[in-house]
Amino acid sequence: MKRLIMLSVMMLFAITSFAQNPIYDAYSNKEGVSSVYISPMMFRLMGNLPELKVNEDGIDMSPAVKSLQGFYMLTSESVDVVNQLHKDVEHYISKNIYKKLMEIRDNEEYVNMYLIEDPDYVRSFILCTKDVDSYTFICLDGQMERKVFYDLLKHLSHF
Amino acid sequence: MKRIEDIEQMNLDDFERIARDDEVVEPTTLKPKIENTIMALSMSAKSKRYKNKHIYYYIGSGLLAAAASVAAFIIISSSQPKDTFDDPQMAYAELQKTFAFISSKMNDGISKMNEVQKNIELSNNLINNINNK
Repeated sequence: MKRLIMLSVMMLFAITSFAQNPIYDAYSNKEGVSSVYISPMMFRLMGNLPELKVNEDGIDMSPAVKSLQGFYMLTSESVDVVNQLHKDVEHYISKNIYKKLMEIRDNEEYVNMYLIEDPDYVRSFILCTKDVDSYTFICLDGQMERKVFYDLLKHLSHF
Repeated sequence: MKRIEDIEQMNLDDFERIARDDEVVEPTTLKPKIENTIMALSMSAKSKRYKNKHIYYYIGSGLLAAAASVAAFIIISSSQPKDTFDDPQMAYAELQKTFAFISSKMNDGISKMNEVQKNIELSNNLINNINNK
């Protein structure tokens, strides 16, 4: 019985940390921050859109979109928020197993892209851009096949 | 073995004498049989108690699992952020916009890398030319 109770407590802890983005949770309701969240359910609905099933390349992108499990975006132009958000994002990335994909520095602006991936799948993608007075944080979670992820990036940028 | 006629001819004294003389012999297999029966009965009672304990354990586990499921559902549904869009078409448009942004940033990085690579190639060519002279 003791084991069972321990297991239940551990499950509850696991559930509370399940599928959440702590950065989004902390900043989405703050003043001076605009936020966008797309849930796994919405991705599944989106996967049924006809324009995804037949695109100009003849590729069905719906499975890729359905494999996405969360889209989080935060943007802010408030200086106080920008600095704090930047610190928190850096901390969050260093605490997790993100690998740096690309870093671009151009005068005052810099762009960083991070990935969590294994040989077959991209599990999470983060892009953050920081300017003097603005910050954008984009996080895409899911279980996307690597090739499909890059195809999706290529396809969705054509509009 | 006495026959019925013999028994009919016997008187009371004969009966008393037979009762005194003939001991009732206890069968040798009776004692182990009784012991076995007692042991079997005691084991069956124990197993019944054990079964009852197990049933309580299963009921307890079931109730706990149900409570955990309800708690999990409440936690998940209350902690999940609210969808920004109700319409998948609008969500798709936002996703397209974001992917275009990501793509443009990636292209910036790649073009900068290409520039650097061109410069490295130029330098290498210059060094090769100097070495060849």
